[in-house]
Formats: sequence, C-alpha cells, structure tokens
Amino acid sequence: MVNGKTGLENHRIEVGFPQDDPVAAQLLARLRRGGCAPSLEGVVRIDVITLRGCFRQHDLTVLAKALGHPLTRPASIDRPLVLTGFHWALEVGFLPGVTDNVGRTVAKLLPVLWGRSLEDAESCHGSRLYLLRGTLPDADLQAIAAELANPLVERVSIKSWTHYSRDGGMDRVAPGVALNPHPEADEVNLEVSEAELLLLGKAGLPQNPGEKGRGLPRRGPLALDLESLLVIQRHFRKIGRHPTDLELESLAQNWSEHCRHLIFNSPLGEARAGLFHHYIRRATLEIQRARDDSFCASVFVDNSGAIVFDEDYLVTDKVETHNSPSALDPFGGALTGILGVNRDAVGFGLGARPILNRYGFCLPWPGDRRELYRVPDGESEPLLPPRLLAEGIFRGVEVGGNCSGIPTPQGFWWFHEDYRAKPLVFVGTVGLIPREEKGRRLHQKRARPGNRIVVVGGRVGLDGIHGATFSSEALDSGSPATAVQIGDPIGQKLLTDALIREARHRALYTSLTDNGAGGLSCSVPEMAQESGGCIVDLTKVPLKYPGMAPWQIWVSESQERMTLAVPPEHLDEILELFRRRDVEATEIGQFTDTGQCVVSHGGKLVMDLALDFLLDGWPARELPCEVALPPDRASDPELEAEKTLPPPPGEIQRLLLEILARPGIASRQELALRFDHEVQGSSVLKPLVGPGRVDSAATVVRPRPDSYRGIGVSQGLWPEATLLDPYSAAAGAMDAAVRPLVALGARLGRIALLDNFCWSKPKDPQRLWLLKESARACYEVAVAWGTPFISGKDSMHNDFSGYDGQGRTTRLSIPPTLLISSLAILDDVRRIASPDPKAAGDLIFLLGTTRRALGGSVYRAHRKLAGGAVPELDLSTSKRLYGLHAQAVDRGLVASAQALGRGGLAVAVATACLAAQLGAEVDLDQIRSHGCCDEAPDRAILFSESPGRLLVTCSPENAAAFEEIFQSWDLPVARIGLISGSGRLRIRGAGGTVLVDTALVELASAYGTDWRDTK
Amino acid sequence: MTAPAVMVLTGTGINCDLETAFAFRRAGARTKIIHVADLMESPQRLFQSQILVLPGGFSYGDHTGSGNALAIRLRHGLATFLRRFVESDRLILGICNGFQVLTHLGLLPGEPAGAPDFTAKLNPEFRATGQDSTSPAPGCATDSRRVALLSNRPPGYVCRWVDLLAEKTTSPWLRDSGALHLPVAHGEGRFWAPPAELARLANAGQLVLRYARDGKPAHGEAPWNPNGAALDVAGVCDPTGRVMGMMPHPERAIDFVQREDWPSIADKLRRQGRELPEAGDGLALFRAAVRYYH
Repeated sequence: MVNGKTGLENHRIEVGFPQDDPVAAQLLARLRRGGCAPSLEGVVRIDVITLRGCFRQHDLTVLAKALGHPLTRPASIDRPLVLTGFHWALEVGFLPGVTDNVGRTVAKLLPVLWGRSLEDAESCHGSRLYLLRGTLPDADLQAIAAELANPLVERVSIKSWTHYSRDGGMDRVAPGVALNPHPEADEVNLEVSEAELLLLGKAGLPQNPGEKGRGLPRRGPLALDLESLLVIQRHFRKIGRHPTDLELESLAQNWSEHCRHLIFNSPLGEARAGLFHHYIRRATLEIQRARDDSFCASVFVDNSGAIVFDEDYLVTDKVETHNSPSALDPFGGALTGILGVNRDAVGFGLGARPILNRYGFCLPWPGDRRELYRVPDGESEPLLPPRLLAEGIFRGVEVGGNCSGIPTPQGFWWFHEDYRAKPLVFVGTVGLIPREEKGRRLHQKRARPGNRIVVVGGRVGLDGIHGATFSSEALDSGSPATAVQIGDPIGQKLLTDALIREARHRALYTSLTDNGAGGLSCSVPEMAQESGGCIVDLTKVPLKYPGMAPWQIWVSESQERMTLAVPPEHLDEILELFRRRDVEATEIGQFTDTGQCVVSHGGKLVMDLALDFLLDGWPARELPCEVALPPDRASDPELEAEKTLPPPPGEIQRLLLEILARPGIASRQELALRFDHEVQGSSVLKPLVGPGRVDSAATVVRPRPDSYRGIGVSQGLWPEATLLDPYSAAAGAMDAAVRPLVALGARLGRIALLDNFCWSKPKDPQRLWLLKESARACYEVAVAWGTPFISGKDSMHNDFSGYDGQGRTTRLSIPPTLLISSLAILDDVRRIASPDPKAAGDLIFLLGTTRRALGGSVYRAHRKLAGGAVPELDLSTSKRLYGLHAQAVDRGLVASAQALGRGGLAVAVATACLAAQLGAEVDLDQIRSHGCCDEAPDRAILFSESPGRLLVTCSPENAAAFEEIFQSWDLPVARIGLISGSGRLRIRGAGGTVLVDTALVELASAYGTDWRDTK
Repeated sequence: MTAPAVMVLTGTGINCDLETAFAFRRAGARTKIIHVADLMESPQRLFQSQILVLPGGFSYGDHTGSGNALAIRLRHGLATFLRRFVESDRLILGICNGFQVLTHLGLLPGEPAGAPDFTAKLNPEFRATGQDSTSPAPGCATDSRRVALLSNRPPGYVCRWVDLLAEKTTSPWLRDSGALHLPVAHGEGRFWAPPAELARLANAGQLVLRYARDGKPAHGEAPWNPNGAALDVAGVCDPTGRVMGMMPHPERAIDFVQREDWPSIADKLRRQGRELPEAGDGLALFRAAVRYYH
C-alpha cells in the first residue's frame, strides 16, 4: 500500500478466460518445451485490474461487468475468481512508474461508466495472474517467473495454494512511485581534480540527497570525457559561475555520441572533415550535382530524408537502432524503437504520415547456452537467454506496428554468436507527405521568435533517463534501469492523427520535432536553432508523479512526445484540438532570438547557456586509425583441394539442406504472419512470395490507392565479411540492398539509400579503420551507381563488459555491422518482376559473375571455417547489367527475377523452386562455358555469395529477346537450366556429376525449420 | 438516385478508416470520416448518412478485450441512436475490430437478449467462490452480448489471405458475392457462441461468411480457417441482414494488385494474351451496399 493516505483502499477485479483458452495452452507448451518446468501440468491466465481510491461498491460492480463478458469472461471483485485446482499462483505486474497501458485504458473508461475520473491520489493498474498446476520445485518457479516477467520492468509475486487460500487470494498491489522529492537544481563545482572530473564523466553526478536509484551513489553516466569536461570547465570560468546540474546534464545529452555523432564528425585518416561529410554526404552532393532532376528533396537535415514520389508527394525514410534498451528489455526496447522511428516520419517537415515499417534483427545464435551476467556474483542480473531476447523483440515490433496501423512488410533476421550481449534492433519508417498544403511547402519548417513551445503526448516520468548517454557507453552493471521503458502505440496513434490529419491541415504550427534521445534537453535547443533561442518553464511540464528534480524533467525520455512551435494566435485552437482528441498538450515556453537557451523552474533560473556552445561547443579531436586485415583473408585450402578431388557423393545436397535449415536462411514466415503487412491496403509485393510462400528480399507498396506508382524497399548487410575486407563487405551490403529492387525492375537512378553503422570498440584504431574503409566503399558505390544517401544513423558502442558464471570478466563486441536500407520509386507496380518462377518450361538465367571466393559466406560459417577471400563487386559491369535488366523487365520479358543472397546460387535456386512449387534442372557447366565465373570448383559456384548476380526466368518465347538485350555488351549472362514440372531440384556439376537431386518436400522441410529448435 | 452517404468512424485507435472510406468512394459512395468524440457530442449526425462503418484497428489498444472498450464508450450515449439507425433501413458494417465492437454492443447477432443464465455457463474451472459475484449488478442488468470473438486457435496474430464462401443470403452486403479471396489480420477473431445459439444463427441464415478451402468449408482446419472459428464463421449479420460484421478486410482487396497471388495470375493471363483485371473481390461488397440505395 502506498503512503497510507486515509480513505484510499485498494480493490482488485479479476477477469477470467474461457476454459479452453488457446493462449494458456500455448503458454503451457512453451514453459514445458523451454525445459524450465517439465512437471507443469496446467496454466490458467486471469486479467487483473487493481484500483486504488475511494469507490462505491456499485461502481466497482459496474466496472467488473464491463470488463467481463456474460458468456466467456467471468469477473470477480475483491475475491479470487478461482479457489482450487492449482498449486501455485504467480502474478506479474509492473514496477512503479512503468507505462501501464491497460491501467490507463481502464482509467479512461471510468468517466463513461461512473461519470467521474480518477482523482489525483487514485490510480488504476493492470496485471496478469497465472494459476499453475503441478508439483513445481522452487527452481522451476523461478524459471517460469523469468519466462513471464522481466525484473527490470515487472514485479512478480508468487503464492502457494496454501498461502493463497489463507490470504483469500493474491494481495491488492497498486504500485506507486515514491520519490524523495528534491525538486531543486544543484550547483556543481567543476574546479576539482582531473580524477574527480573523470569520475563525473563516467559515473555521473552524485545522487540527489536521499534518492535511491538502485542504491547507486551516482546518477549514471554523463559519458563526457576529460577533454569535454575541461572545455565545459573553461566555459563556466569565462562566464564566471558554476554550472547547475541541469546544465551539465544538458551538455552531456547534447554532446553525446548518440546526438552529435562525434565519431562520424571527427577527422579520421584521409577524411579530414569526418566520415559523414567526406564520404556519406559528399556522395549525395556529387550525385545531386551530376543529375539535373530534383530526386532528392531533403537530405540529412531533418528527422528523415525525403525524395520525390510524384508531382504531389514526397516519400520520407529513416532507419534507427534501439540496441541497448532492447538488450535490457527486448519487448519494451523494440516497441519504443519502432514507435520512435515512426515519429521520425511524423517529425519530418511539418509532418509525414507513416506508411511502412521495416525491421532488422541481428540476434544471438538461438542455441547459445553461455551464461553471462552484468555483476560478478555469477547469479544476479543475467543477460536474457537468446530465445527470450528474440521473442521479446518480435513482440515489440508486432505490437508497435500492428497497433499503429502501419504495415510492416519489410525486414530480415540475422543470427550470429557475437550478438549475444547486444542484439541489434533496426527499425525504419517510410512516410508520405504532400509537397504543398495551404500554400505551405511541407518539407520546410521554421520556429519563429515568439512562437510558443508546445509539448504534445505523454506525461514525463523517470523513464529513459540517460538514454542518450547510456547508448554511448558499453553495457555493464552500471547501466541505469530507468533507461527501460514501454511504449504506448495507441497514445502515439492519437497524437499522430490529431497532428497530421487536423493540426497540420489547419496550419496551426510552424515547426515540430520528435522528443527522442535526451528528451526536451535535445529537442527544444535543436528547434531553437531555427529561431535563435528559447525560454522554458519546467514547472509547466506535466509530470506522471510529483517530486522529480528539474534535470530529470529536462532530460527524461518519456515516449510518444513531440515538440511544436505554435504562433500565439493559434495556441488556444491547437490546445483545444488536442484536448478533444484525448492528447495531452501543454505550452512550456517560447522561442526567442536571444541566442540563449534559458530554462527556469519554480521561478528560479536553472539554465542559461549560449545555444552555439550547447550544440556545437564539443571539442573535435583526431581519431586514430590503423590498417587491420587478417592474414588468412585470401586463403581457402578447401577450394584448392577440390581442384583435384570432387566432392563426395551426396555432400553438396546435405550441405544445401543443412544451410536451408539454418536460422537466418530458413523461413521467416512466422514474422510475416505476425506483422500486419496489409493494413492501409497498400501492399503489392508481400513479404512471402509464390504459392510456396518464400521470404522475399524486397517488398513493394502502393501508397496512393488511386495510382499504380509504387515504392520498393529492401535492405542489405554483411557483418561476417567486415573483419575480412571492410571495403568489399560494405560494397556487398550496398549491393545486397540495391539488387533486390533492381530485380523487380527498378532503375538505379530511382533508388535512394540510408546507412546505419553499428560498430563496436570505437576507441580501437583498427575498428576505426574498418569504419573508414566501409564509409569509403559507401561513397564509391553510391557515386558509381548514382544512388544517393538521404539519411543515416550510427550506433558506435555495441560492446558488453560483464562476467561469466564464475565471475570472470567477459567482454563481447558485435561484429561491426553496416546496414544499408534502400527504397525505389516504381512507375507502375503492375510491371514489376516478382521473385517466384511462374511456369514449368521457363528458362533459367544467371546474370553476373560468380567469384571463386567464399569469404563471409553462410557456407563457411556453417563449416566453421574462418577467413577466406571476400568476393568483390564490379561497379561498371553491375551498373550496365542492372540497367539492361530493368529494360528487360519493362519490356515484359522477365517472368521472375531474384537477387542471389545468403547461401548463394544453391539457396537461390532452392527457394525459387519452393516459392513456385515447381522443380528445376540446373547445369553448373553452363556457367563455366559462358565465362560467368572464375575458374572455380562446384562448391564455390554454388555457395559463393558474389555480389552483382540475378537469377531470372523467362518463358521460352521471350528467352531469345531477353538474351539479345545483353549480347552486344559482352556481359556475363548464362542460360543455366529450366524450371520443370517434376517437383524435384536437380543440379549437375562439373562433367555432369549429379550434386543435388531432391524432392520439393525435402527442401520444404529443411526450409520450414523453426529457429527455436537450433542447437 | 444520388450516391449514399457513408460515415466511417475514426479515433481511439481505429486505423483502417482511410482505406475503408476510399473503398466506398471507389464503389460510388460519398464518405465522411468522423471522430468518435465528435459523433458522441452530436449523435444525431449519425442520420446524415445511410451507411455506418466501424473500421478495423486497435480501439483502446484492445485492452480489456478487443472491441470491448470502444463498445463501452458507444453504449453510453449512442445506444438508442444506433438502434434507431438500424430500424430506419440503414446499413452498418463492422470490419475486424469493428466486428468485435458490434458483438460487444449486441448489435450482432442482434436478437433481443433474454437474460442469459450466466452461472449455468460459468466455466467449471472457476469454482463457485461462496457467492456469485458476477450476477447482474443494478444498473447493468441486461447484457446483450451473446456471441464472442475469442483468441485465435492456434494463438497469435495472423495476417494472411483466406478464401471465403458467402452464403446465399438476403443481406444487402453480400448479394453480389459468392467466393471471396480476402486478407485477415487479427489476434482475436475466433467466432464463438453457445451451441444452441450457434445452431439458431445457422438456421436463421445469419452466419453469412465462412472460411473455405478449395471452394468447400474449411472444417476448422488451419490455415484455411485461420483462427479456429466455430462452423468456420468469418462474418455474421443480424436478422435483417443490414448489419454485418466480418473478420476479413474487404477494403484491403478492392484492386487486383492487392491480392497476394496477383503476380502468378498476371503471368498466366499475359501468356494467354489477356488483359489484367482491375478489381479485387472486396469491391463487390462495397458496390452491393451502394446499390442497395439505387
């Protein structure tokens, strides 16, 4: 019970489910299968609502009736719904202050049901009760609790049946936030020793007096290094006073790697202006200069980048990562990640409507049983096991996309043991925005002096404090638990609709931005650049609970909030609009042109800093870099041996089936079913293609229902190759993102790109060299193809420092990962070539050269072979080949086209057969005789992941015309076989040896393997 | 005849309103999207339209059971207006979450409710706890909910295309439809009713839309019946046929290129030298509703 205020009581409403509840049955199966509770015999789930307040019995009865259902969902008040038939009762609720969407919805219904809302001291909470049948030892109960609840956001209470009966059921818990209020800003003395300054940067400011904060004496990392702190020290000496804690926290947020991208903006090797300007942005500028159209509408300046869709609309795109939060709470992290990137679309220009989500999950190997901990005692704060990590992340994106009504057709998953401690969660959102509305160019925005600062969306709590600085540090035991938060997709949906469909249309604001990392402390100063200053009163910011310190209000990352600039004459109208739409909106200050960022709290000045210093005062520094190429990168003894010795019979077929069953290659159908990709009615090429429902590397949407113009999207990455050859790995990632769109028939000139660098060990000169080489490849490929970058994001600290079960220090770093996301404008979606072959008798063509290089391939990973040469991308050949292929598609000569991807030709042919539910005959000697490969043994031709290749099928009538298109250019095009009605895949190797001869059902059974079953 | 006016609800987490309104416009209707809050404020605006649509989405995030929270809101303040709307020869369509709302409102299957014998049907798992805390409370003695849309079996959200068979029915919504190919996307779509009620609805011809496999009923088999619905029911109407609710999304299937299998079909047609069709199966439903007013 909270703070024991008189007259307030806790009440508990339990709502049951029908007896044959499939969700409970699935849960039972999962708990048994996970091996955590083999003796569990039955599970019953019950929804619980706990109310704290002073209520009439009649009102509680009305509520219980409304929450239940007369035939399927019995409800009880202050009395357990079920008395017997189980051995243990386990309840999962939220920790105090964690977003509780069910509790919030019930609270919203009370005015309707009762004619009154909850008063200030009253509250409403949702939780879940599980009744477990079976003799369960304590270890099993703990394992079940670990499966059902995340201790960072949820609390678990367990009672035996005996206790439950004695107590009359579970306790009535209304989790309240008990702060020891310290609503003051403290002065911080920076005139201290360098050692003390270093500690300040690493561990943060001393905790407010009396504040618990996980018992830590400090507030959590500022992530400011000594150099930065000395710059700050000098600045305050110059202005002749000490900084406040709020000013220091603000500087830490704004100078964080996360917000300022210091590594991408500092001199590194030949990139004197930093990698971003020297390679990424320069590529776009050169491409823009070379072409005379207005394809790029807004690049690198806004929350998203934008290209022209048609005469009336722009398309925006942005891809983000949410890695650190997802490592701690995969569900909450992924959910807030996808909702956050949605706001990058909404926050573009004056507001774009999100029309497509994309995802990318880099996950630990599912069967990885290593036990890792954040603290050295070998038992507390364990890292989540890979399966729970993956399931939480999937559910986060499912809830975020589906509840928001944004289709999520496009994505990938990627499994690698080095994502064990930090999974990568990529989330992206494409938006659509009219080029003009009411005479305003919607991609332009400008807050003007005198405009009011209005914060819209959820209230501010302790959620996500230190998120920006946290993701700029390695994940360890000092990682603040308050970085974890759970999103509210419905709240954000209401905000988005009110903003884009009503407020924008009525031109009620002049600028807006997302409150992401760093909360108000970043969003307000960034917008204030448009006018030249701002003044904010933190007392006006609506809080979830009283007692927050000013710095906490200022840096809190509570989700689903945006900041608007509203001309004073529209203030009443916009506040009224949001009120009617159930969205909280509050004026907290105004934009100025004083050049200062001024913040007050309770009438006291708590911040007064020059905007330029706040945003750009950080010290630039030269980053060291050092060439890092492994010695074994070119050797491949296995291929040498095969020159004289052909593979043993059956070996290739066995390898193909094993590789098809590997996580990352095997079917992703589970996600296609769970992520609604049909909402908005825009889906054209779906995540699953062909009657055999095989994953597609690209998807297509048609955002305007009255036009056949479409948008194709895809993604590419090659983390396994980065350490071997960063340049070729990055070029391969670019190609892997672009080629699936080319296969559809997209022209290179209509494709735009986004980059996401997720790196590790960012202080290691060798890792920085890898980074530089990757960026160089991005530049050269983009310029050669004329495919500009329009937006990007980096995440540099994907490292873990913790302990194994024996308390030994363990460090893990992700493989440096560059994700390229691509989008293409397609003139007429009816003319695209889909990846699935269509008819028996059609001829199969392989376009592009197959290299004798298996470096970075799934094949080598499967054989556990290190090293190997990474196949290179031929820029001029690929450019010509891709252009001619687009012509062939345009002329209707192509029945299907697929970009060869992971697993090379073997997996491409196998999945093509599965998609079409047809067989194929393939002859590798055809590739050799057409000169479409290096001198290479069969296994290299089948499993090399050489970039630049397409697998095309044509009807016999069109085959000659198709070949003719490429003939005069002397390009690598080979007719390698045909689609057959036999239901078998047959592949012949050198001299006609049968390498593969297998039935579709065998392929399907391998391809259908569940990732959870992986050892 | 002028085109009928269609009112499409939005707000509270509804998210299929734009495409649903577009589908009606494509079928020749005039449409207006109205926020639940605005309608509740002046309920008589309901009668400016001939057709009311509750589109799909996640009203109130599905918390407290999908469709339940929005139904609670609509029941308090709109119930009598909705009844008058139905009685005045107008049409109502609930799609997916809208269907769930209509069942919670009792507009589907739409018989006047006898007081259901709650205790008799109480799940035996839940043993009596001394007194029946769930008997009707004063002020909410009547609960007209007689069917339910339960968690899918197999459980989990499912987004996929399904085949459907429309019963021969007098419902204006389905009079031009036979076999339909439409997408579903839901986590709680398993139609359920007590056996007697199910039989009664079947006899009354109110179970108008069924999941099918190769032109025959799916017999409960996944994935053809994607959620384990009783008698493969995908959609039901009230006794007049004018109020209909369905789990599949016809508004996502008004064009040929929205089908998941269009590339294969298009390839076949092209090889035969034939033109591609324009419309998808869902459009017939919206056209039929518009034609009802001609």
